[in-house]
Amino acid sequence: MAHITHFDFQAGNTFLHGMDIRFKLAIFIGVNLAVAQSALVGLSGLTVLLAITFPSLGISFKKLLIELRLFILLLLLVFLARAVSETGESLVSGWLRQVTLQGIQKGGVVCWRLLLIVLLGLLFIRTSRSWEIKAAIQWYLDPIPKVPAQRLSLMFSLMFRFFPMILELHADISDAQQSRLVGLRKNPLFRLKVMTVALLENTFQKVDEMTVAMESRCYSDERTGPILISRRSDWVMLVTSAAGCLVMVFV
Amino acid sequence: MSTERPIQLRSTVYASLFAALISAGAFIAFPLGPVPIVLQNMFVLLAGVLLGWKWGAASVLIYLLAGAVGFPVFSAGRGGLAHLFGPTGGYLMSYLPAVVIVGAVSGYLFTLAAGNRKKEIYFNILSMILGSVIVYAIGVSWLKVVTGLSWGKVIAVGMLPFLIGDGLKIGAAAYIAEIVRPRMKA
Repeated sequence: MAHITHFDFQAGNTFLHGMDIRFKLAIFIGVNLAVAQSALVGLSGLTVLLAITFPSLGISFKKLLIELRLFILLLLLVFLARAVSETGESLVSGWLRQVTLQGIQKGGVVCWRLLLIVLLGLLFIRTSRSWEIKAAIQWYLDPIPKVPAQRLSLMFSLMFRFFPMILELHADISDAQQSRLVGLRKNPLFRLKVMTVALLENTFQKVDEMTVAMESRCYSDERTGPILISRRSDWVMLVTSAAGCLVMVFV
Repeated sequence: MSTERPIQLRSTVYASLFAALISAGAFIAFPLGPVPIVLQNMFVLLAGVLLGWKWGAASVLIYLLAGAVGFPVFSAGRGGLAHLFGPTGGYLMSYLPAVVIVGAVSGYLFTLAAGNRKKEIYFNILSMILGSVIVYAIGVSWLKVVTGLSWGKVIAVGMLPFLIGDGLKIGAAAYIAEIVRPRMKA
């Protein structure tokens, strides 16, 4: 049965939902850049902030962990690769002697950053409607000459609409194929084919339905866009976030 | 109503879909032995074969733009300019020339195949191998420049471990393209 993933817009009346999307996008980009440069203090601060924010947006940590299980597995691999590839003080003897303290520290920080980037993306998508994202991208691209801002922004917003749909379909198809014991087939090419064909077939069906709906409404590039209005609270949030980003990078 | 508009709209939607598929490919891991492979580069190659060079390039551009502004769409859920210009940024940037070449070559070879399904699959494989060569040529060179490792080490770290998975992905993608193509033309 279809269900809403966390990587999908959820209506609400929180401050993040009400923010001007242009400010929200700028803050999102800034915080992402800060995460890439910040050390333990900055990462800890942001983690606490997200841990406080997520429950108010109705995000269940348990459900999130289930949804991100494959990503967490990838993070674990990244961590292990870092732990054994970094030179430094060896922690254990025997065949595990390649695991170093420096490797564990660096691996931990890298995985922490990656996880925060994903959670920030989730926060943005969760609190932003696709038309809002489209409007913000268009607003930023409009001043650039010879760039089809309207079409690019439409593609951007569609991409964010399709992204959770694909993840949801993938989860459903995986469950269906597991129940039919496809995982026991030894031929990896076969397993890859049946998974991807089913995913693409289902995705194309949904996308075709949407295209027909857009065509039937004579959708075109010449559309009246929404009016974006900034409030004082948006400016306050922008300045606060900029200060927070500087603290994250330099402390 | 002009017939051009629906075709363009459909192409726009499909290009967005492939941008989303390439992004979601970072999160869709496929277990192959002890290490899972991600489907991201397979969707890049498929975008070239199915959308052609122009719309394929548009989908990759949208994907790179989303990653550059910080959305977690790069491999292992990364995002941001730092990753785009980091050690593995060469692979990401190579997606653009790769999808253009795959789209142009497969489009040309598709007309030569003249409806012969077997030939079409072989030509798909050929164009996708060419695309993968471009990805590795740019990706490995960039990795060498950024890390300063020797060619031998860079190839051992940045290319050899992925070749088997890539071979499988190309084999599957060539077959998948043949199944999905008629649906896109409908």
